[in-house]
Amino acid sequence: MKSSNVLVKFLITPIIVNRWSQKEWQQLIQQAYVTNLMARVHFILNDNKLIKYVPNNVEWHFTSAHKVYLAHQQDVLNEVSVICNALKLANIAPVFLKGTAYLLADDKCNQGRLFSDVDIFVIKSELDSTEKMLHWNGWVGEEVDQHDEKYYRDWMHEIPPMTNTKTHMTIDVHHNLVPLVSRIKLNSDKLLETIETVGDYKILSMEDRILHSAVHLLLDGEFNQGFRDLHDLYLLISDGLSVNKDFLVVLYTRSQQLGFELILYYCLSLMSIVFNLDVDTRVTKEFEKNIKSPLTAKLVLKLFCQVLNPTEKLIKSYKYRISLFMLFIRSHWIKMPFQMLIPHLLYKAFITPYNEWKKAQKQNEEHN
Amino acid sequence: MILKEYSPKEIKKLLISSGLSFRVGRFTVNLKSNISNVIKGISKLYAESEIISQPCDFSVTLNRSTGIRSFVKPQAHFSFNGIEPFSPLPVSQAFPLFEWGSNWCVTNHCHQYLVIHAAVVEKNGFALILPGQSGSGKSTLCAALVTIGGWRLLSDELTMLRLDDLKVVPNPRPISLKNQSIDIVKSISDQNKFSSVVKDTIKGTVAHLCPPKQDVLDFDVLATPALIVYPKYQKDSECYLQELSKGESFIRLADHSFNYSILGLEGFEILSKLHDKVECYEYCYDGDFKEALNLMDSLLPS
Repeated sequence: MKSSNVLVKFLITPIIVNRWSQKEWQQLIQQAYVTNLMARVHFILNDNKLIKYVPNNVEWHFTSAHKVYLAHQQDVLNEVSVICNALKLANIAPVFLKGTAYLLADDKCNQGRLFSDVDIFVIKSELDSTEKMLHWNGWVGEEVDQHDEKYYRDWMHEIPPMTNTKTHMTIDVHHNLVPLVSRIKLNSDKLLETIETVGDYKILSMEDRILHSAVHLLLDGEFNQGFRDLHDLYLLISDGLSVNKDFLVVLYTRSQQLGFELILYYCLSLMSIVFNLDVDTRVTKEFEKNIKSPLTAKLVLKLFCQVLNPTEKLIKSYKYRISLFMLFIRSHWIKMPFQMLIPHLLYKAFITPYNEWKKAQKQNEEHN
Repeated sequence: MILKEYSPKEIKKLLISSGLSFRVGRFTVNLKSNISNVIKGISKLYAESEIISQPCDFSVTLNRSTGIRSFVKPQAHFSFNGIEPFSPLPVSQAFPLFEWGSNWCVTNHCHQYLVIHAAVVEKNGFALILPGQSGSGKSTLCAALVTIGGWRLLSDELTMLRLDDLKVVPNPRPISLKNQSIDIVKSISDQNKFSSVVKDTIKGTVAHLCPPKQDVLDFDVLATPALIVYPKYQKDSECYLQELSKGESFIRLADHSFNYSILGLEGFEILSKLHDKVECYEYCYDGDFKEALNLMDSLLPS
């Protein structure tokens, strides 16, 4: 991935911009747009005092993205306080996940990170009251058909997304980090043992934030923000390593407790392939002992490298699309057992489009 | 070098290979496309546009669907650096899609300006801002002011205010006309300056009018905002011009801005300062251009 990719080169060694011509800047701009990392690139340029190398005709892309970022931070902070106020009445203190957690924890990867929804985690017994409280306070659930309702409620780890009618921000309420029917299972009570508190808010511990981010990237089968997430992981792990040089061992131990070793293996392998991260040999040795089929692992890693490559995403090459499809199948294979997967995919392929078509017809008739 | 110096064949060759880099208003765009009506539309409406050899502000592609959809009701896909912000449209609407896509590029990324949904024209260095939703007649009035009123076109759709000194920054692009207004504007301007008419789009029937050559060249000549007139087209109605309070106009303009909330305090301050400088009116007109042009001229500061 490295050789042809200015964005990756820049993220590893920002100083290289001092030798760049207009051509490389142009490539950087394109790759920063497609990966949604424009505001982060701006942060890194600023932190390393490299803004002086940015050509005049290019600079506005970065400064505009920074403005969007600042406005977005403010919006999310407001939303966090509105959510907490709504749930306080039911005595529920949600745990914030993903982007919102990075913001609250002031993680390095919050810098220049834009995201669309606020994600929270509550224990399953609080799920009903959480949903009701949000509903009473102006959130509305997405309209889903019977199949999707069952899909979310009985199989998945979150309920259908809800939108705040005043701010138009979406909230995803989770009660686990992986689908209930998934082949990789998590006892979510274990997350509660290590919860951190920042100010008035709860977030997952550093290790769990990393493992959750990796689960999301490597199991969801969607890679719209894939490269951004990959770089988030790199920054989170770097944060951890800067505090404790044995951080990867700690992280590995935690992954064992949660049953996420394989996911951590893929995550750290990608870190080393893409960002040259030095992985602790104690950890790699453990992986080598435990990986059952190294050949499959190698293939899967190759597929990830394809779909996470910003240049491939820009041109949407044949290889990119094939890899995307194979990972989509893989993620669903892990997500649900075979006897659920096949009816689900058939439903999504035929019944959902048919229902949408019927709905559109009906709307047309009413319109005329 | 300008675009019309290229033969259609050369334009086509660029569009399907490395992309055609040219000036679109004040921005520069690298466009790749394999759709013939895009080539035709660009050649006509951007004939006077400068060819760019530097890297561009926006890289976009407009391509036909691949696979089965390339045979059955083919569609045009607009993509900005690999991102597709819109659903694809029938391939016959590809040129309007380029215009809408170019507007999207500006409204979503150019926060170095306050971007307002308004037409804007200039005379004697003063800018007249015409905010309005679709159907208010702002583009029609703008076309009349530009073609027969002696005003310079700054933009028919997006008014951009520079944040430090409140100058209006021109973005002279083809004027977008809809439905009846196409024939009305055709009756007062050169028929050859229009793109082909495209029917059944989401906005109805649309056509684009070439911006005047000199206005395209003057994209870097800024203007001082002096007037905000909210046009309201009403057929067979009594025309009236009514002064609007600064407060009312402030709220309306914030509502018409694409990035007011992104700019935050900066946005608030810009609109306050702007309203210290301008006069605001609401103008109901019946489509009588002669009267409208006289009236707009009379409002200009002397």
